Amino acid sequence: VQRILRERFCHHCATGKLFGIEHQYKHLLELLKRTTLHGESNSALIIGPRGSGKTTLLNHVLKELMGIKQVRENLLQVHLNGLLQTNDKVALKEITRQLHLENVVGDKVFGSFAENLVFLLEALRKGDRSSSCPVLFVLDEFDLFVHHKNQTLLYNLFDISQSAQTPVTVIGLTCRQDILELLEKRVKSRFSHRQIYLMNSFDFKQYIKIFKEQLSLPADFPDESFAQKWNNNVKV
Amino acid sequence: MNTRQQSKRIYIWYGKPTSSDRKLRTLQYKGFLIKSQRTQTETCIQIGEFVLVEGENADRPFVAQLLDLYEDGAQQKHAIVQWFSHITEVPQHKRRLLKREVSRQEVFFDQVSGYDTDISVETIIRSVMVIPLQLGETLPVVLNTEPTFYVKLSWDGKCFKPLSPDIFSKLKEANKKTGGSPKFLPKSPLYSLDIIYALEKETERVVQSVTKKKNVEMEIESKHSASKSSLSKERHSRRVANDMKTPTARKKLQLNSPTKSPKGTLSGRDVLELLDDDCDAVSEPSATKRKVKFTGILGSPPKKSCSSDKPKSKLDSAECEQSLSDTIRLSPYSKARDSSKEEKNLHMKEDSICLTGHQKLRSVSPIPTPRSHRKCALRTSIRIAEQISLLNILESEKEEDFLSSSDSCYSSSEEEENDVLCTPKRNSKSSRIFSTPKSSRKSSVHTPAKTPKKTPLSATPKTPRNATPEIPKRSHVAQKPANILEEARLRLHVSAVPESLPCREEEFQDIYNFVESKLIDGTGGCMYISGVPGTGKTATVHEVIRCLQQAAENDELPSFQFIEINGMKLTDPHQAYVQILEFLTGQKVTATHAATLLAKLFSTPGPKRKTTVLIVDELDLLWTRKQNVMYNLFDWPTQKHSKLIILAIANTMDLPERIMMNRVASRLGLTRMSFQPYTYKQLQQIISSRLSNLKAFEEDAIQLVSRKVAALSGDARRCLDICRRATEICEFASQKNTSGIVRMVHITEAIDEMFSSPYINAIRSASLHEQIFLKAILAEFRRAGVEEATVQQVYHQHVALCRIEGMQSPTVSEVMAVCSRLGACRLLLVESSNKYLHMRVRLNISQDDVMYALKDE
Repeated sequence: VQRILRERFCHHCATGKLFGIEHQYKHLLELLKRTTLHGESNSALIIGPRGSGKTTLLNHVLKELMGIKQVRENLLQVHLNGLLQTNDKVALKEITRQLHLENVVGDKVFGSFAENLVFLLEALRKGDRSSSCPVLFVLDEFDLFVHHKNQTLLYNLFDISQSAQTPVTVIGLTCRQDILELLEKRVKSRFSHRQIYLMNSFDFKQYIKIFKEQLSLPADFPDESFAQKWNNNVKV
Repeated sequence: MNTRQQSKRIYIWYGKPTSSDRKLRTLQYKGFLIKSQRTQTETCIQIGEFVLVEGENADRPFVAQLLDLYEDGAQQKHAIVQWFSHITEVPQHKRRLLKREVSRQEVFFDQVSGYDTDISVETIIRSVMVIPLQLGETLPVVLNTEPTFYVKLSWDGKCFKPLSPDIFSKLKEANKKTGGSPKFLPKSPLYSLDIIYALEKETERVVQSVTKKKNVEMEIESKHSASKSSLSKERHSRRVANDMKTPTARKKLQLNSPTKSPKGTLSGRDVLELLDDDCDAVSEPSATKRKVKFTGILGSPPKKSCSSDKPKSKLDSAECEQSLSDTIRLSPYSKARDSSKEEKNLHMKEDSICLTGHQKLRSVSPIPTPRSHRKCALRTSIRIAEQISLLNILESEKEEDFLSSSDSCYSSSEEEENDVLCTPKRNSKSSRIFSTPKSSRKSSVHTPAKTPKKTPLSATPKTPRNATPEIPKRSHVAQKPANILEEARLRLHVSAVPESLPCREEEFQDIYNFVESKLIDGTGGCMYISGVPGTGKTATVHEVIRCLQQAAENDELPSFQFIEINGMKLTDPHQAYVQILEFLTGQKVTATHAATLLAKLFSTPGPKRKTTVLIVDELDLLWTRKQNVMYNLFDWPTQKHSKLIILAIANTMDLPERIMMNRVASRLGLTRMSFQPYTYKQLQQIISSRLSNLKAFEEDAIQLVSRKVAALSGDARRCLDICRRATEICEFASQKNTSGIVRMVHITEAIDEMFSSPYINAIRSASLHEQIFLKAILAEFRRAGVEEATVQQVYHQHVALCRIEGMQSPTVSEVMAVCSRLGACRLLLVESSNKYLHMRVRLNISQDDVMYALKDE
């Protein structure tokens, strides 16, 4: 029991159900499906206060996507975090590393910032809609990327998503409501303005329901009678 | 390499002026000397000779014939030349006219008008051979002999023609005049002893010229200096080293695999032993030197005996074989002893390389008794060279891309020159060379025999330079659009490039005319294009370039080069230089070096330069404090010879006035163009033209989008995005009721989604205490009359409000948590939290908005 519950609470794996964000879930799923299956480039922001389930939403969507065989074999994912990739140089190296491009040597990327940028852009430019793998960029703490010099990374990512190059979807996760005002105008113009808002405006009853569901044990628990007992206790 | 050497060359007229023109104040000369400062050697080039002229790419010099030499009033040395075109200078689509592969040695007699035939003498590198051939003849050699070129056809910019008889004879004469040079010999089908005499004479001349130089004291020394003395010689020696290198490596391999032609290796070993004996016998001071030489030669004998000499050995007696090995024994000896001989060898080698084509015709008869020591050595060198060249041919037959491998060998042997015995260093170096972009064509991985041996030696993992930037291919093909809405969405994507750009015809025509006129005049110029984002600046400019390229292909315009840089895609403004230079010449250098190279390129009267069209996108990002990047960019077009057209694109209309210094702004000129934001009618037209005949949108819906966007920004990107979103909403909705057309409702929903302010919703969905906290802030502001308050003050209000509502009042830390949550969402602007209760709080949205959001509760 401990193990199950601890996993559920402490790890960010997509277990359990989502509450109250079915609409957003569908929207994001459709968006990513189109990228992976049709090779359409997109960009979107998921905005919501802390603890509103932005990452959970994304993880759920990705989990469902990975269920599709075609997607699993195609999709390349790049996860960046604004707290870890504090400038474009680091971010660029991380992208190259996660994409396993050919200038990666044993988990490390060498070369100057300029070289890397040129290389990456060249790599992404070579692809086209129908033939190359779609790439999903997930930018956690998106607001921190905005403060990078000239917003070079964001400009380039959005520019790729707006031009006939490798299909790219850029998903930004942030808690700041004023994020669009922070973007430079040419970057803003390239952003597709899809925003998915997450508001957790639950009342007390809904909260109780959520917690009950989180605490109760799954049906395939080995000790059935114990599970029954536990679940009954939770309900009370 | 060339650039470095070039900087140390001095040009001096040879002899007295032959004639002078008083009126023009010019003095004409019949030749000049190129003095290399580093090695104190001189090369004489006379009128009529063929020369290599520096181009923008150091690796690919132009070929030309000197017609005239003169000095003008300003003491500038000029030369009038007749150009020869390389195949790479012929436009891609014209190459098809030839209907055949063109070897690297073939050049075309250039009759293109418009190229400047008056060049500065300083750009001449050295002399080369150009041999005219009749149309039916095949090139004698398919080797990598760079300094010899062959002419068969003339090229006048439109089509290829055979050389006219008088041009042919003229070229032939020019060749003869250059002193019965050995390179001309391959033309004669008979290989007689007389020729060998001639060769000998020629080489003796060379020897004398070398011995005149003072630095023949030490073998190694002289070898080095000889290699440096002039570029041509260096090339030769390099090639020798190169050729020797390859067999060595091969030999190593061969020894490793004993099963492979045992006979060949056996006889090879015999020769090897002989050589070793000889090596012991000869006591030379420079042992290391000889060692290298030996390894060089070592490679060739086994090969020779196993492959190339077979037909010969049939005819030759054993004695002949003996003499052969004798001569081989001699050759390293003589090489080690005398650098002049070495040089001679080089010359001979080249001749013999040319000869390989005729080799089969030749009988073995010219193996006479060695008449003189030198003669013998000479013969040997020919032999060796032949073998090497034959090997090369064999190799090149085996592996198509021998070129690349020899290239890498070529550079590694260059290092060998510098540091012969330092093998580990060489190893690491050569592994670097192995990954030069040139050899990056995947096959090179297994071509050079030495690479597999050497790459593992490089201990540190290096970034593979040959990495091809590429995203892996998807395993499944992308799905085709299934229904009308998906099709529409595809067309509405910003990336979908329409055939024509509606609503920008006027701007298109203006830019087109500007560039076209500059192209025809062969001058340079700048144009500044401004406009808010999403108004089609970049798209229009690209469209113009595409049309111009089309026109150039149809011969309506002179051809041009097109370069694009984007300020946003540069990590540093100075990187612009690097990118431009890389586009122009393919070189990769540092920013400062690139700047000087570019400045030189654009300011000197470059021969045969095409016009360059440079697009600078996001110009404002190229701003530096000294503005030298912008200054240079706009200064180059004003140079007389630059032929550079710059189209600068930026967002702000008054950028030149706002951020540029006067000197930069004035160079930019007044050719400005601004793209106005689209009006709703234009947007409407854009959408309908993209959809063309797809029935996916209602007319009214399109109009609604256009009006909405035009009122807000006039950004076409936004417009297309809304439409795309609307199709999604429509699709989502139509799953219930099957109406496959986008209506007003869907558009409104999409617009709301994109433009609605998130704040109101955020406040409404905030928790109870967050809302109370906001109310408290409002109350505090009203009380104090200042739009700023500390948390302490707000807390008092908060507690009071809670009392009114009849709720339990929260603790201070709870309020702090609420405050920081609101701060994280940027509903509040909060000071850094180290002041705890005294931290100041401010609203990030207007008070009315908060009131409105809270009132509805």
